[in-house]
Amino acid sequence: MTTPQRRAHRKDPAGPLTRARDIPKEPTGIAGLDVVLGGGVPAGRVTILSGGPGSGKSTMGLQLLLTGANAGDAGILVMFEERAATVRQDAWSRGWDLARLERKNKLCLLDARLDPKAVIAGEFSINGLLAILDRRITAMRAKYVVIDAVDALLHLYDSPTRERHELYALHEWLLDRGVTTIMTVKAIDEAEARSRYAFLDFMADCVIHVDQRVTAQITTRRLRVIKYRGSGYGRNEYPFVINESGITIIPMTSNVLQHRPPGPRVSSGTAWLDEALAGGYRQGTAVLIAGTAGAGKTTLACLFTRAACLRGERVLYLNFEESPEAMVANMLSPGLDLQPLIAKGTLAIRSYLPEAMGVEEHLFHSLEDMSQFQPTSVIVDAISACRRMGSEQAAFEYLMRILNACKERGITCMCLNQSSGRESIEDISGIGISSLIDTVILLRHRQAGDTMVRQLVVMKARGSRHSEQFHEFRVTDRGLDLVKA
Amino acid sequence: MTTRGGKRRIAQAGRDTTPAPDTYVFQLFVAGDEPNSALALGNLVRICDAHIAGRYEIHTVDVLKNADAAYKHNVIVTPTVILTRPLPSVTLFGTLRDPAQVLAALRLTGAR
Repeated sequence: MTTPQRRAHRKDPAGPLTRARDIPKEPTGIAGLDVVLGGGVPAGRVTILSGGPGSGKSTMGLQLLLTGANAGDAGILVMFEERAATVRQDAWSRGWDLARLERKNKLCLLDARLDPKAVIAGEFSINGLLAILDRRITAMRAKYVVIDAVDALLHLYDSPTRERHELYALHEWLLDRGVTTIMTVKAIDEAEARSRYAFLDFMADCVIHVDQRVTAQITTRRLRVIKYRGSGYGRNEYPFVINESGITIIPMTSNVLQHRPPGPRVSSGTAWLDEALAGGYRQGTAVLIAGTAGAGKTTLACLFTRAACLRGERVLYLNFEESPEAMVANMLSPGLDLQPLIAKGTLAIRSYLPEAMGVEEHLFHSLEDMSQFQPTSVIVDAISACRRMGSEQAAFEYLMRILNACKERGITCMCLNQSSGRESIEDISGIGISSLIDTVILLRHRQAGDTMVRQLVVMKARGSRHSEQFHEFRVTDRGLDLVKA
Repeated sequence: MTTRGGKRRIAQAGRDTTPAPDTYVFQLFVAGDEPNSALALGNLVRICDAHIAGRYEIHTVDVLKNADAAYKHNVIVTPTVILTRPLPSVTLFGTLRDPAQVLAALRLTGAR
């Protein structure tokens, strides 16, 4: 895992979520969360993290401690439910070596599970825990405390008043120690969290809710900051993923101002189309190729791919419909051999099954592929399949972010979409992304007597005087050939 | 079971070194002079005197002075009473305000 820079006061003029007089913060080390929180959790204060089982609360807490420990600041994990051995093992499976940090006295796993056989006989307090914690904080000079599943402790008390009183006492105690704390609280849903533990939201300086939901059989995780005293924060719901290396949140930084201006013209890979486009596509813009099944969308994209690769550029082909092998084999028919390009390392084909994961995991993989491969062009084949990531909304989110990511990096993004060919230009993308699309090419079939004729028309080309003609073409073993009228 | 560290012997039976086989040995974890801890000690002594007089030992540990002992015995709440002998051990939290409940938990119901 990466060790982020530690700055108590983050003053990033570019950060749209940061204000000049934000309170001191501690970065959590969770990619994206620090952006949403405008730098991190409040330093020396208490943050509540609520969410259902398996929503990633404990992982987030642990990641804060690891970020601290790796930067040399000690932290303590107080566990009310899990065994230390289990936590170590789970962390190990993510490649986090807790035992090493424990030996270096940078991390302490404090087992605070209560004996389930113990008999409750009268009034008591958590002074035992506080004494142990106090001793550890002093001995380790701990800066961070994560209290995992504080609700398990609260269940010991028979009255909500006592529960509240003990938690306020704990909160005060932690503030007095000046440690940066995350308390996790289990809640099946947000409504429950807000009623039973509403007082926590008032008490803590920062409240974050995470949840896991299933829409159309696909699980997605979401995070929302409910409050942050003394700081600005991103107010949306943010999707996040938990993978083997921890948590990644992909905040929507759809700031159009960060888009790069269109670059020089690049060939579409087909001479007559370049002519129709007044010179080709522009580098760093978004191109949509829509058309009926079998109209030649993938062929058009692959012609562009080959031309780009031969110019020495790098193309990332995200395929949601075919495996790389099937795609390479199918492209031999219009005379396109992609294998040498793959072998040379200028073309990367990544095939994903849309329904295999939620939208944020797809995003995570796609953005990861982009940052690893550093392409000059990205091809998404096909956006109509993206709906199978869960819903129309999921497809929209995915494409919106991919397009934004491309435009921020000056990458040409070509999206293919299967359509009936009868839509208006507004819904040709089908997914409501037309405002981000610079060039739209429509492919369709037409019946002429007893033969089928393929047609191509440039419906839109921002900033170009493009041809308005319907071009008739044939797929040959040399690519797409114009049929002279 | 000798007296050392933060442990204080309240009552004892038999020899100074090893308790007699029929002796009840308790560890009482308290937090300084907080009222709940004082109540628990008073109640425990009263119950023991009434039922196992002369056959018990109470070792008190102040978690504020001896946090390591609290850590070692996983004592999260105070007061906590652990009956360490005879086995199996029994743990109780709280002021021990209800003698009947405490006696039942300590398997002393029916003891003289």
